[in-house]
Amino acid sequence: MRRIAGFFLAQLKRVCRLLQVQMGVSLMICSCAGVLAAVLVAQGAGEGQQRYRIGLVGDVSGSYLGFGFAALQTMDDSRLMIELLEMTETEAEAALAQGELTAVVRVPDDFLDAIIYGDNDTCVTYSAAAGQTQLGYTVMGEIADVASTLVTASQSAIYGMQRALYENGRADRVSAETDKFNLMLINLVLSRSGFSEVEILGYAEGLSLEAYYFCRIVLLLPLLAGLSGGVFFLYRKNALAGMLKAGGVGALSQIVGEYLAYLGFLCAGFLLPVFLLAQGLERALISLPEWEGVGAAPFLALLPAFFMATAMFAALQFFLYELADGIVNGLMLQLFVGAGMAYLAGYFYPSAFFPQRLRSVGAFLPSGAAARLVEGSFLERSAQGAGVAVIVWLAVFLLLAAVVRQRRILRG
Amino acid sequence: MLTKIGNMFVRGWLIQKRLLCKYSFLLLLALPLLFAAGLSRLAKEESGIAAIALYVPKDDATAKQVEERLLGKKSAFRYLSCETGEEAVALVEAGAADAAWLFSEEMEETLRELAEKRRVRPLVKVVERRDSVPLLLARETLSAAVYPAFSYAVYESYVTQDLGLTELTDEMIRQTYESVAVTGSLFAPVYADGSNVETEDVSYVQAPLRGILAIWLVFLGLAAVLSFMQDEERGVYGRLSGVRRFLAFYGVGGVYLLDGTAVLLLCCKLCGVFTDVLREVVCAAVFACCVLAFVNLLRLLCRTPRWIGVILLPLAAAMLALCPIFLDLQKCRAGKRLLPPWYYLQSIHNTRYLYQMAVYTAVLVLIGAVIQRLRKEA
Repeated sequence: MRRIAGFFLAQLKRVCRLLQVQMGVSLMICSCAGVLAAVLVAQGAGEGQQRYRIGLVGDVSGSYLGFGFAALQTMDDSRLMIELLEMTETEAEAALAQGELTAVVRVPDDFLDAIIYGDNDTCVTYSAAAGQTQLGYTVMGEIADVASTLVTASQSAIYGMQRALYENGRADRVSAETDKFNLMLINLVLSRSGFSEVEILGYAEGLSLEAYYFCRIVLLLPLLAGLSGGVFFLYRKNALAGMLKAGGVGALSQIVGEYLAYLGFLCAGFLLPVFLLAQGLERALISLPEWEGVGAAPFLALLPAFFMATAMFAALQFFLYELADGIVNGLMLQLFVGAGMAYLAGYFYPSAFFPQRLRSVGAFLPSGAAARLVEGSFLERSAQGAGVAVIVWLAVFLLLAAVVRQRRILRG
Repeated sequence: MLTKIGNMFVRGWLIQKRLLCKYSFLLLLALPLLFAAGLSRLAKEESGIAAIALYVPKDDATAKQVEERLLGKKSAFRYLSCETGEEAVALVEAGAADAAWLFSEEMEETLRELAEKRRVRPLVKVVERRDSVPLLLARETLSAAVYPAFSYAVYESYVTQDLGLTELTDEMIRQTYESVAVTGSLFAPVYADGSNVETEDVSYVQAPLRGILAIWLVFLGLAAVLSFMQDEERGVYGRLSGVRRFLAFYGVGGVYLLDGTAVLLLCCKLCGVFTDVLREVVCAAVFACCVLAFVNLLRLLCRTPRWIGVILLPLAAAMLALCPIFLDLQKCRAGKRLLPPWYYLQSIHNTRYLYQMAVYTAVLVLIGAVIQRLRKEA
């Protein structure tokens, strides 16, 4: 035991020498996060809901189409979720590339004529932004489907009415009745939101989207910390492990000693971000719907769960570095396993976006177990299952690391 | 000349052999492939940007028709059918669904009455935990699903009441309507370069894979840097002068990135985000060159493995935040343009960015050469 403690202390000394590096990383992370937060605030992410910004390309001035688009922006309920911006093709392309638009809609010159005469053979085309490309197309597809249904159902009703007049010998009334019926349908389309009455429940259970992302982003840092933790493994020598074994410090003891030092190394790096986050919450610079006006106290209560998750991620990173032969491969494994697990556990998209089986896989992974633990703590709800899963994962990673170390020692 | 080229290939092959002998490097190449294959398989299942619990009364024809309209097409939303309204609301309360749509028990009758009065009144009760833009869009979808039945009822009532064609039977009115009914979509999705989008094949769940792999390739380049630095410390390149060492790095990095690019292309193919062979290969090749020049510059600026270690995490965070993978930030234009994955992700559907990536690569190589030269003089 004394030897293990001695080995651990030796590792701690190494950690102290590396602290300047870790502080450098910490400072860089905080600076990046600060810049990103400033950008998001400047972008207006914190001010209510963001709308889908759609660039409109094509000459719609002085036509019924222009009136239609003006109506969409002033009278229609879709203005609450869509912001239409008229622009040229070049402007739209540049704005799309810069992420300023969700999509660009191109209206061909003969589109309105095709609608009026019921040909519907000329399509409005749309392109989504490169970021979240397929998500952009999915959303735009839904918007396009809504618009298309409203137009074609109205067209069908109007043409049906016209056909009924023609077939019953009242062709003289077609023009006047078409105008009247058209206006009536436009009014009904504009008031279509009245088909539903909305009741808002609030957050009885579960997290707000802001809180969801807060928990995930807070966990993303320790999950990817293995990248900067690489310096801890930089000059590791296989011969040392064999020598220690000969001196009575077995593979598992070596792993535990090194792991605890590595955990301390990671935690030291999180002190500054945690302090700044707590200050941000205390001064209400960061606000979550669940924590409004309560300062940093709930966040501090979250720290034990956060620490458990960090301890498990540290074990995972330790195992990956042990598994990889050399720091180079170790780093790559850290990145891919970290980013992959983060994605599958819904750190980037809400996990509700995923199919059921993918969500089950995500929840089972270490990143998912950690997220469930922190969320449970956030909601002040029992998350024993997640806590047990985190501890089991931690133990599994340490044991696997010990097995790999043992094999390495035996191979010499 | 031929001997020199032959030597180059031999050296390249030796580096390749050295890499392939490391099982963890093979694991590193295999992991993205497994991830892509798994993701592609799992992404085929139903998914959506919001989950909607649906309660539809069983014996109401209009409600069933609206339900069929909602469920019968590929949607951005995931619908959960419920037996009772209470069950649907409970799902929302528990956070298992984002909204519940409770259809009126007498929807058909109410709709007909409203159509006769030319009024729009609630037919569906929507219960939500909190309003959001996706749920606004969902309500638009709901309105659009109700509207065809409503517009038909309005047409029917208009023909009989306003036009006074009372002699027409319901069947005749329907036949007249169906003989002129307009179908099909007025919108078509296209990529920025005008090529068609195959929306059926790729889910948004798979879409970020290309971005993740682009970042992975940058890190593979950084792995090459670390490996090269370690070899330098061991004195492997001790006999090489500044310029030749500069070229040696391009050789080592090139082999790493060659493997990485092959894996990237294969993953895109496996995951279904692959577009056109020529376009993919050219974009990936230019991207690999760009990454090589980028990591070489970082090598020259950081100098030691320890400093490379320091920049890894901030660089990963910057790429995740600024490249259009999960987010598309409107600001930080200059920051975005410093990162090779940004050009690569844009270039797939827009050739202009391919040229910009090539120019950026040339600039990086030039800056690298200048720094190398200055170092030598110092």
